Amino acid sequence: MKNPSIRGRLIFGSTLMVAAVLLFSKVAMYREIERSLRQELDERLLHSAILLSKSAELEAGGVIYEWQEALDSTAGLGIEGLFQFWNLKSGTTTRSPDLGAGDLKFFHGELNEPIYQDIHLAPGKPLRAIGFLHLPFTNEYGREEMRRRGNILHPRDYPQVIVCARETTGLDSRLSQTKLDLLWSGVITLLAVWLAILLVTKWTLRPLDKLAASLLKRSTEVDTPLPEIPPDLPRELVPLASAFRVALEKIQIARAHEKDFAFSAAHQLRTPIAGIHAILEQAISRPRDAESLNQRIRRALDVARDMRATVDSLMSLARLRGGIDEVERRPFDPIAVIRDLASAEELHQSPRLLTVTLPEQPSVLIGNERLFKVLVSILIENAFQHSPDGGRIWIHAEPRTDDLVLTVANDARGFDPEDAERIFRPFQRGRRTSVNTGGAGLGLALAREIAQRLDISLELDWNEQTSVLTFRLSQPAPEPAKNPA
Amino acid sequence: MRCLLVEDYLPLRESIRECLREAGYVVDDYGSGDEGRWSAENHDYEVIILDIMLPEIDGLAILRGLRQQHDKTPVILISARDAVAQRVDGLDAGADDYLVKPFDLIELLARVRALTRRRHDRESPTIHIADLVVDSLRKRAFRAEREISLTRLEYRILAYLAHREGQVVSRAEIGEHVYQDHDSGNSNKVDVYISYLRRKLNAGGEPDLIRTIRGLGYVISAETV
Repeated sequence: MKNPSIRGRLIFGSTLMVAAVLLFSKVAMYREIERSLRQELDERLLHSAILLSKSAELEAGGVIYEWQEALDSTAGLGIEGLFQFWNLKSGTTTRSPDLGAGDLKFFHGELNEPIYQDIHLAPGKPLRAIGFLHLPFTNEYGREEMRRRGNILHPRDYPQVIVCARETTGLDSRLSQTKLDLLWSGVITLLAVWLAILLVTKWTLRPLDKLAASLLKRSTEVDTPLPEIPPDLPRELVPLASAFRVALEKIQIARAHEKDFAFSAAHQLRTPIAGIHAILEQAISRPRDAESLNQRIRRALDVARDMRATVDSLMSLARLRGGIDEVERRPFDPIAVIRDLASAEELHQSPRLLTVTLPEQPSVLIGNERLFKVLVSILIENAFQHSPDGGRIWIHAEPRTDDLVLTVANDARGFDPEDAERIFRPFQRGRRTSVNTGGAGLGLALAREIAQRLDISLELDWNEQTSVLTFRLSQPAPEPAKNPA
Repeated sequence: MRCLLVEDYLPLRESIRECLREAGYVVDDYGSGDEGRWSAENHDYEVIILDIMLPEIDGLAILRGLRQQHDKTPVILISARDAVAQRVDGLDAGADDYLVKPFDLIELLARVRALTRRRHDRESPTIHIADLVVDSLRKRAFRAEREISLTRLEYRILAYLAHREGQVVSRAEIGEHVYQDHDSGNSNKVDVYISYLRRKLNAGGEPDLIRTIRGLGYVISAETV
């Protein structure tokens, strides 16, 4: 699937929006121009129609069109366009000279209410026309003449229709040109906006491209510092780049741990294999007596047992991490478990001084007894393995109101506080721990994994003054059963 | 010839030590970096076999320290680290060879022999001095095609002298390179064993190849006395 482009979306979205605004404004502008021009034309037609209506005079002899007299006496009325009069009383019509023998369309509205129509005089010759029904005017002189003749005429009996028209070809052509002008100006504006957005986004996103290039370069390099966030990166992208940098740092730490794991795993697994290999190779390198061979086989077997324990721990760790084993939770007495494990260690008659302080009363925890036992045994064995001969070991359990706290502490002279985090990682051991010390650096990693699965808190505390290393387990006690009432 | 072995994993250290001793080498072995470094700086060794991951001081730090002091003793690094970059790091730190664990002891032995030969500018594990042949591969010696029966200590002295053919070797040097205990090789003991060696080498009436340089030591060469 192709990923969406910010630049593409910005350009497309902005262009679409600008195009819509431009279209709306240009259409509105065009309509306003068209309305204005047509209104001007209509006003001029109305003006002509009114002027012409004022030239129809009712006299004793009937209706006289004064514009005809004006035509005879001067070059014209100063009225542009074509017009035609209809005398509805006599059914006669009078045309402007430019009209020749042609007729304009006859139409009108109510008396003194002009109406407009688009008409055609001939195909391809559009006209704008006004139709005006009016009555001829009379003046004092005309009325005196009617009285003298004894023939009084009333204007209402002589309704007149004027249709006045002007060609609109020029107007239409002007409007077409205006439409084209508006279209081109819109297109050019749109292109300019598009180009501006393109350049601005390109300029704005350039730091992002630089950051991406440096990250890509960084991905091919090992152990080089993470690229800094470019100062010119847009502020909106800084949180994203910062989050990405944090993720990269975490990846870097994970890679370092993975590298450590690979180194340490290689050391912890290859070294005993090398030991067995060397023991057996030496055994067959020359004829040896049965006792010598027996000793060598026993030594190889000891190494093989250590390796089996390592592989078992590794498999347990993998199964716990992979969630393969289902952790069943049931009530059990943790004090009894701790007491059994401490007693078992006492039986080994180790040259270390063990002090066990456990409550007399049994306690109840909800959890997995088997895993809890593994966890506590790891801590106790760890304390024995890493204490010097004559060193002291303390096992103390204390049920409290809301949890159980178990501490396993031991003399650990020479413990490096910098190892406090590292020793919980698989195959990592204290820097001063000999490879001949039992285990392969998996115990505490397994302990932490079990603690996490059982929701137990496992903490390490190092007291530099007393050289005592303390592992503290605290498991919340079960919540009291709620009263259904 | 004396080798230094610094390896913290006891089963492996014991096997390598035994293998080298059975091959005729005198071996000093240590399980920690600081002991190994002290010994490397204070004794003369034909070859140093050095583990990298050691408690206290790691093998690469020891190696770099030796090279900074212009100590040219051949060093074989042994390590579980098998990546090319790690091997390159080891060789760049001044190692002459690098073996990844697990390895065959016979291969380690062959590499020790190769470095010993190179140190004494020898092309072959078999050394010819006039009609004397010292086969360092099979740990045997011949004079005029006659095999000479030697004790382990006698063979070590002969092999050491033969590797340094033409050079005057002091009694202290012989003691240092031939006796397991650094303090055991006093002058008298060396003189006694040289006399045993001469007797066996010249049993067929051949000319003596070992010359005593008064006040300095011994030299073995085709130039007979």
